[in-house]
Amino acid sequence: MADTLTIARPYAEAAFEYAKAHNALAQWSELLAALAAVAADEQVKDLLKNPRVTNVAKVKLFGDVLGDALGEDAKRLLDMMAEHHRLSLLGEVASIFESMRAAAENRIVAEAVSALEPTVEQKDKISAALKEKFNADVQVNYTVDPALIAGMRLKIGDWVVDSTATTQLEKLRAAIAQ
Amino acid sequence: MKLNPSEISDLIKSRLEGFEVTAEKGSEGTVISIADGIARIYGLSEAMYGEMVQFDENTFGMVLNLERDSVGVVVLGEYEHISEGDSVRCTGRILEVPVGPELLGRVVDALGRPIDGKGPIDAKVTSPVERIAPGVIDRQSVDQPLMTGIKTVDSMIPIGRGQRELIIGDRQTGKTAIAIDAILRQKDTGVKCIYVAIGQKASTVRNIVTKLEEHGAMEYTTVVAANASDPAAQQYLAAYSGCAMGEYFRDRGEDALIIYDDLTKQAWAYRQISLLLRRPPGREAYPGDIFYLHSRLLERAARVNADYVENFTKGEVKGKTGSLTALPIIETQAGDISAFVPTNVISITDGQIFLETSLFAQGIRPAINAGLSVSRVGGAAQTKVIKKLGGGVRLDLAQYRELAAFAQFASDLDAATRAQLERGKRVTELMKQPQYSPLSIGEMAASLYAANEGFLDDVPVEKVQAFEQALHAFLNSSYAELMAKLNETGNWNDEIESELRKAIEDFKANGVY
Repeated sequence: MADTLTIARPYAEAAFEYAKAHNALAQWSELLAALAAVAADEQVKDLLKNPRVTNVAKVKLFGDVLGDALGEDAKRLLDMMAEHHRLSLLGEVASIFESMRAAAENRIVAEAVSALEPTVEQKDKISAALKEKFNADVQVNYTVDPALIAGMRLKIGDWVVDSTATTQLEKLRAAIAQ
Repeated sequence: MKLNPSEISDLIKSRLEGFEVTAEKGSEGTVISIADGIARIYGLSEAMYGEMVQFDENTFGMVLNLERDSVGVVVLGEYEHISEGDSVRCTGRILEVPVGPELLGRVVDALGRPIDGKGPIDAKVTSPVERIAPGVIDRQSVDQPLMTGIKTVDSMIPIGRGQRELIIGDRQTGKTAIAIDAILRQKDTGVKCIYVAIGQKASTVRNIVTKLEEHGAMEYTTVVAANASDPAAQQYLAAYSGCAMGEYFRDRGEDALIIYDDLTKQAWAYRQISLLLRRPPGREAYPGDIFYLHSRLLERAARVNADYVENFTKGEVKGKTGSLTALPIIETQAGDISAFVPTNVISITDGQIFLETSLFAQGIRPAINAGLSVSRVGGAAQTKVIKKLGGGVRLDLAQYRELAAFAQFASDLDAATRAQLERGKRVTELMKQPQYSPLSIGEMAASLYAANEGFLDDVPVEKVQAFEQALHAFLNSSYAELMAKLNETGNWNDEIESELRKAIEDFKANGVY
């Protein structure tokens, strides 16, 4: 995972710089997401790995699926990635592009997993607290997992706050077994 | 340790009382790959070099590689239960081990956990395993002797407190024996000892611990063992952990002795870790920082001045200097001291004790090659009496070696040469010393004086050792006062000389050997 990210980064950076210069961040982000979705298809994955299929044919496949949405500039990106056999990394390119765009627009995305669905009031509190801590627009994606028993687990990038009952119980077990 | 049920519930109760419910926060990552004790982790963007990371409550790792999208972590201990996708947390702490007097008499692993079955260690203090050595201002020159009780070493290759003296030789030449004798000799001197066994057989370590216990040396000794079956990470770390335990005494104005047995195996363990972390291999496949591996370790063995000790203890200990003396051991292959690791360590240390297979086979034990062995700083620290008397022996041996080679081809020798050869033979014989019998200053002085003054010249060569033993027994019983004076002060003057001469003459006249 780390290796593929490292390989995908230069492509994503180039695409990001280009999109920024042409004021087309939103457009490019949509386009890359679509390309990533195509590349994630099992049949397409097999095709991309097949050495008998020429680079031209591989790029054409994306063009056929996306139709007019694929502009000349995006096609050039695909050509270059095909030339270096990196088309299978489109998913990583899209995700790095997204995180770069979020950073540029001062947005952060947080993942919250809780045992119960939080109330609107609680959600507001969480958003406000995160906004204050990170000084950025926070978008929180909520999911519910009853296995946590109680509490919530917040994840923003690498940074994690964990107050769930399962973690506490695990800690308690470790403390007694020590 | 046996507990009854009520004690168990009390114990659980006390644990529960101390338990705090708090939200955990910190950096978290995911295991991408795990193989051969090395985990690559995605995330952990806040990880520091050398930081401890936690896999589950009992499994820790140490961060050794920081890369753009991943960190390389060496797992300390079992790693079979870790799988791809497991989460890993930063602890924000650098690896630490328990230190202090509570560890004396114990056998611990590379992380300071007891492995001798004597229950938990109640250490009050912990110390990071990696610390920067004292700087220039904090140091003081080496001027106190650290006796090893071995005649050859103390008379010709003296070791001072705070010195680093390498013990180097092929396998089976008695390297460990010298180190163990040095530990035994520290009894009643107040010097604390740490024996770090790296990559050795568990049975060997067991034997050493038993020997130390037999001679009452475990009371002031800690054994740090990373056996051959332990993970490479522990074998690599054990030397630093042991050093941290020794530094505890150094920094509090006490004297300590640490033995690394041996650094060759530690270098092998580090080479394994480095190659698995995909660092580029260099000469003999060792990584680029193999010199620094040993130099930063041995640099921590030092004599520190009273100011440093006072600052460190915040004024609790005043006017006392501290020292950590290191005796690293290096095993050579077929006497090749120009291999990579031996040359590195020779250049770092303040001298070396060179052991030879051929001498060992000739029955000269300890098999020390007095010509190739040197001590660069110990001379200033030598006890006065040994310094005065040791010079003669060194000269006798040097001349003997030169003449012995020459005498093999010559048939007629003049009387002076013959006398020199005879003297040399006896001195060589006198320098033999059985294991586990370190000598006191007085005993050593008597042996050296007897050799210098020709008292041995009329003793048959094969009787020299018996003569020496009988002489020591005689002096310890009949001239106990003189011996006590020598042992305590280590002084040498005309008065003591005449007393010693009288005593030896007395023995030659009346003693039996």
